[in-house]
Amino acid sequence: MAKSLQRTKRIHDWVAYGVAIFFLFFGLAPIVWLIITSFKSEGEIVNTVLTYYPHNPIATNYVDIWRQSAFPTLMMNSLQTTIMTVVICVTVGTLASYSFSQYRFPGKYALLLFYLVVRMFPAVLMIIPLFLIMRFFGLLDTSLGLALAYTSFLLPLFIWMMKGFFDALPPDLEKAARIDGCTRIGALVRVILPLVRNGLAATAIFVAIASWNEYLFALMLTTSSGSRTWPVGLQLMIGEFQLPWGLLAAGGVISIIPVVILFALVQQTMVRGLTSGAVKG
Amino acid sequence: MEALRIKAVRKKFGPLEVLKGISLDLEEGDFLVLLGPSGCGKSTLLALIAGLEDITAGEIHIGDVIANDLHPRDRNIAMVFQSYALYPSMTVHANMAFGLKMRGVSTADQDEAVKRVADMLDIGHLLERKPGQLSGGQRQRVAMGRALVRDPMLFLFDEPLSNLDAKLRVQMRSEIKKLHNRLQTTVVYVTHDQVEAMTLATKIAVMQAGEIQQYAPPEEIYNRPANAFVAGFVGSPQMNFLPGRLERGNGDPRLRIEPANGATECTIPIGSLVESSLGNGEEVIVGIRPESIRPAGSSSTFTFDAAIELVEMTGADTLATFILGGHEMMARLPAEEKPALGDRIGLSFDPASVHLFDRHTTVRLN
Ligand SMILES: Nc1ncnc2c1ncn2[C@@H]1O[C@H](COP(=O)(O)OP(=O)(O)OP(=O)(O)O)[C@@H](O)[C@H]1O
Ligand SMILES: [Mg+2]
Repeated sequence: MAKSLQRTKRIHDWVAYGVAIFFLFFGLAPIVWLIITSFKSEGEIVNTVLTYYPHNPIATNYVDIWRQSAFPTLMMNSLQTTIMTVVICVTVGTLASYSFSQYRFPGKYALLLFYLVVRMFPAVLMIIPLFLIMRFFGLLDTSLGLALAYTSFLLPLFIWMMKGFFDALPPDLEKAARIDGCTRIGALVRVILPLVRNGLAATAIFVAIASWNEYLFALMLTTSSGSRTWPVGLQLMIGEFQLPWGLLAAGGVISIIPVVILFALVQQTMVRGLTSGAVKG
Repeated sequence: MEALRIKAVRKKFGPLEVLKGISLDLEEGDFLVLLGPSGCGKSTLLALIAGLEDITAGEIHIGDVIANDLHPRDRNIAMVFQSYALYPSMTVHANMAFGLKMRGVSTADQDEAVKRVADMLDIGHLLERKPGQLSGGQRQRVAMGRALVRDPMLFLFDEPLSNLDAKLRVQMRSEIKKLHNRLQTTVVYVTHDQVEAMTLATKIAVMQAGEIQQYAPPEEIYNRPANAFVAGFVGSPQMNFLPGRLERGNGDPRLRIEPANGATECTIPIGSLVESSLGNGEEVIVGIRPESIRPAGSSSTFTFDAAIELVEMTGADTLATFILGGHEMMARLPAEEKPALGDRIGLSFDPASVHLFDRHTTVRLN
């Protein structure tokens, strides 16, 4: 009896591992393949004989994309757009989510719901109106315009996530701080924000990664190398007659490096922020 | 001098009127307890005094200034919250010094003030800890300390002891009392614990549904409750209430208790308890405190027999439930009285200790 129970348990373990490994493979294999490809020569990539690792690994793809294409500019543009998006979301979003969480005001729930509904429309639907708006304000093909477009879908996300962290706070803290001499904003900055800093970091990084990787809006709202971001730039390297696999792979690897570094740096904070959501003690 | 003056203060949250015209004056050095059931508006009144909420109508004076439009910081108050509301990211020292720091007090003076109060509250050894590393009782002390360092005109406490266990609560209660005796500060203290109210207060305001039912010193609240609500709310076990009628035949006026459940009638002679203005046949509520009821044989003038329904020993005394005129009542007897269930025993009370309330308005009649 005990034995068969143990065996069932072992089988369950194997099944669980099997499923986990299967999906891990699906998630990781493309990235691994991307990295492998980036170190292969053009000849090895298009060879009819498949090689599972670069037989003569080379770095020319990296050198070439950095030296001979607009890739560094694309990265700078992406960085600029991302920073703008994060700054807008963090300043506006923090204030908004805090008031949504702590204050009662007319229209509060309608607004919150509206933000959620906005998230439910596919982004494509918003592109044409956004395009017209941007053109009207002369923001087409600018980093700021793109960042504003990103906030249209990232700000609601930010607000909803941060509201969760603020909701977990004891409501009397702000009152205590106000009696101790703070204004409401002062209480937020001095007392409340230190408590939600993990959550704030996690949410800001979410936003940063989302805007760093965004493709569709960038494709529609940027037209020149002045503001074009790397996902679009990389895609445009695919010409009618050539497909520079090696360069594309190298570009892909370079552009995920910041994400990986950022994640590694704040991974602990982020996980703590997302799971605890709290201020216990 | 008056430390606090509240004039016809109203507060609405949207259509909901939570405070319906509150007025009270408080002398410097007074300890005011706001007492009332949950949801009656105690915390709201405190928030209005603190300036955390806007007043819908009326005036609040703190000291000799109108505080209506003053920022909480400028009201010269300090507050202790039920949840303590200590700043989790700061040490105990930083928590206590925060209010001073925000007012631009020098670091040396901050340290001195924190040290003085920490010694007074016996939390000197905790100063470098974060609130998360403290027990509930210690947090409570720190919260008090944070209020005390500022030496304000008015202290506000919102149920500061309700998160402590029973023993600690009693201990902290006497400490607050001692502190108040020593420092002679002016305090507004919210609680729904009537023992806290009776022991701490120099004045009690009993509130219900956004209105003050009675505002008086504790003895008066207990001995001469202004209406049936106050009478029932203050005192534990609760005052016994019986429906009755005033009878003025020839001779002394009497109270005829209206029997319930087919029980026999009983009448209580009440001598000069009520004013002569009260007419014959007046419908009243008769209130008798459980502690006024004694075993028969003492010098009390009204004696009766009653069957014991339930006996509860608290150790210090015996709570006996019995039936009088069909109504369930409770007596608080000395601990050595140990009636058995079903016993018929002789009980008595002094008619002078009876409280009479109008049946319709519930206002006190005697
Ligand atoms: N910000 C608010 N918005 C709307 N209604 C409120 C608000 N704050 C309090 N109330 C309502 O006002 C009434 C009084 O609340 P208050 O907190 O003053 O009660 P309380 O006497 O302190 O009760 P407790 O003993 O439970 O703390 C309650 O009915 C409550 O629901
Ligand atoms: Mg309250």
